Amino acid sequence: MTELSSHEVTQLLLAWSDGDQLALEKLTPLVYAELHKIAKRHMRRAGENHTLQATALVNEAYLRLIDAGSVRWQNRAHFFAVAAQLMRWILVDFARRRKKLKRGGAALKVPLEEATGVTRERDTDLVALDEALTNLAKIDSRKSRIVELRFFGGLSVEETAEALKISPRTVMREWGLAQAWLYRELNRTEKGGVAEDGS
Amino acid sequence: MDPERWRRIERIYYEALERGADGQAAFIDEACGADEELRHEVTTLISAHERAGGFIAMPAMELEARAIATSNIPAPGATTIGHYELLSLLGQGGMGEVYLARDTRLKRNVALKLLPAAYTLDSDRVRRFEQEALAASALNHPNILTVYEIGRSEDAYFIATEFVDGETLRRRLERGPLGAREVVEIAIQIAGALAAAHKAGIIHRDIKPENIMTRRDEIVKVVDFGLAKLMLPDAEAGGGDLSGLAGGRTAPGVILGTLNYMSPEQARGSDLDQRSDLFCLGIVLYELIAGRSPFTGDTPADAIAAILEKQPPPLARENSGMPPELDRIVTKLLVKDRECRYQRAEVLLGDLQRVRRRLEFAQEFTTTRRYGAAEGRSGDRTDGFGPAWAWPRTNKVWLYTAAACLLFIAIFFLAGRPIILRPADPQPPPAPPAPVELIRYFLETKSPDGVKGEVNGLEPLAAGMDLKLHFTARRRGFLYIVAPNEKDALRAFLTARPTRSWGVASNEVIAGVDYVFPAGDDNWIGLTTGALPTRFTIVFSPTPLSSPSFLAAPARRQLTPAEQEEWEAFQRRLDRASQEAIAGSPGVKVTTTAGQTVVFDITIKKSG
Repeated sequence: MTELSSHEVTQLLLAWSDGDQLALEKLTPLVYAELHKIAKRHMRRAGENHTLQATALVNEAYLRLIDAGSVRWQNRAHFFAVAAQLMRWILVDFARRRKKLKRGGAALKVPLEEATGVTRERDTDLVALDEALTNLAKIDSRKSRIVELRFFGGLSVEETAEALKISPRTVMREWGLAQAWLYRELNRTEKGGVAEDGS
Repeated sequence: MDPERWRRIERIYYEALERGADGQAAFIDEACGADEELRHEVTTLISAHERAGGFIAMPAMELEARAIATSNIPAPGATTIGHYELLSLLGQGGMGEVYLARDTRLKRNVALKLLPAAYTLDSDRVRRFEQEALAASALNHPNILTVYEIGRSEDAYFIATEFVDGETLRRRLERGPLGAREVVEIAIQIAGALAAAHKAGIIHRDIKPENIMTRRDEIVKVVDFGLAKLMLPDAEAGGGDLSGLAGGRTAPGVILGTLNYMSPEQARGSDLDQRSDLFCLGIVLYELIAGRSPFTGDTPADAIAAILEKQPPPLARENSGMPPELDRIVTKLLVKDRECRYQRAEVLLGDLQRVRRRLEFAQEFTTTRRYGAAEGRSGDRTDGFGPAWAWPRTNKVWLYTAAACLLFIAIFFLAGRPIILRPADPQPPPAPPAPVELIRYFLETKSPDGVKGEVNGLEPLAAGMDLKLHFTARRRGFLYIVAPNEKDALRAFLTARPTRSWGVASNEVIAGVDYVFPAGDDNWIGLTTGALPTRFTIVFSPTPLSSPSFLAAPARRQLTPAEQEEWEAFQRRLDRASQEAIAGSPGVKVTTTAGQTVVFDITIKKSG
């Protein structure tokens, strides 16, 4: 890492995980700036028409930002839990600002899949997803954590299983149900029913 | 949704999926029976499962990467000025915006102030300001903010300074007036900074709460030396807007500075000197003690008239807890005629140091007396640490008696003793180190019928109570709790967790945050079965402890006899902190004079 020491970020991350909200305020711009650089470099490397190598991207971000080898992490699960939570915060925050800018501040609901087939790029509404995930946590916190670790933290099924101390099979099963639940939640119409978009 | 129902939905959902398309519908019919709502839940989830198609299979970071990479959103960190990368906005004021920035060459965080263009048009003036700001910084005084660079990038002038992790006195004042000791500590540091600057011929010209920062470790930094000069309106331009209010004088009779923090000579548009800084410091100290400015007016003209003519109300009336010496010092700083004011910051510094010694001495004295009475009503302060600094506010008769005794003792020690014992010794004996507040705690209780309360833990407790320990540290450190097990024989090692945290348990505590042990709403220390009294031994250390070995690897288990022995020996090596109840609050204050790793016990006694 060129701009700031991963040690510094780790310190802030630990402070945040201990309840220090000021640490998050300092952390966000630092991490965001780094993500910006990493994403740019990956874009150049991958070319405009290729999908980014997700795993490489996530791993690089972790390696650069967080001193994962620090003795002060109690274990891998602690590290991943904090890292995934931070990624969630930053990515949702970014999406929120981007949305605000794009839509002039109007809070429009974005359909999850826009005109299937026209573009392969899906516009997942991270802001709505974040809210839905918070609701999921209220009825089933483990499923919400699985989504946080996998979707925001970029962990594999095996890593998620290790972090939560459950079997990979359970992760698979619950991940499937969590996805279905979130999908249903996000596609609810105003009247409370489920939109039948027929896609 | 109730958990039982959710588990039922889950079970049916998994099983239905396993059946595959053929037996699914029949299975759901059978499993849900007449419960239409249940059926609806399951079928909508299965339908969503079919259509979701792994819609969040791609990690969020990848989904957002393209947007992040191509975004033109003015994201924090996206902008650079010279070799500084702006990270976040720290504040905004008349002197421009201040950012937290990263120096990409020297790899350090700085505070970057962007100067408003209006003040930087005259490059000669900028150069003069630069000389003065750098000269003040070069004094290398711990209480003067270090300026790294004054530079220009494209159209903006900027000042890069050391980044202070703390708050301005203005922000501090929003929480109400300060206690005597805190005011004295801050005043000493400002006076030290001014003494050094004045000696080098540098005047600040704009001493006000916004320009004084207090770091978390209580180090004070005076910022923006010389910057006020940059804002001086051009003589040719006929002075600033306010000059008319002060009698219509123009160059060189121009006014600058913040209206409420002006010296009379400044209000008249006369030349400023070091004594002007001292007057402004007087205004700041008055405000710190009284919680309000000494000179106010409905209009700028009224405010200036007050500075020129009005005597501020005596401080004793504003804050009865202030030592009279401090009142005299502030009065002497606020003398209108600068010839009769404090002439030099060094003299002020000496006077303040004497007040500090006396306060420390008074605290030592009261420590040996009944603390509860001396604490008075100071527990109602809002910063949570008030009583450590606050001068007793009530029980005046007692206070005056104590003051008289102190005076007598002080006279004996400072004057009498050297004459009797060692006539050649010019130094008074060093004052004993003042106790420093380390941490405070209280016990949260829950009675068998669920009624919650808070007690200070020094009082006996009714039997059958459940307990939680709440700690708030004065500074960052590492907290270790060693508690008895149910049989009160061997001990188990436990860690505290902050109430607001979702993270994994850690021994590190951050200043000002409430840490509760045990964490979790349903976890309580039950005293119904355990033998009383019950002792919790708390170790507070500025650094993580690696020995005794079981402290480094927290485990909820009984200690082996060898570990037990190691623990006892370890405790004997530590300083014991003293504790006293905080009057009017359920808290207990833990103080130390040692400053290193200390240990104290919380003993739960049963009443009756």
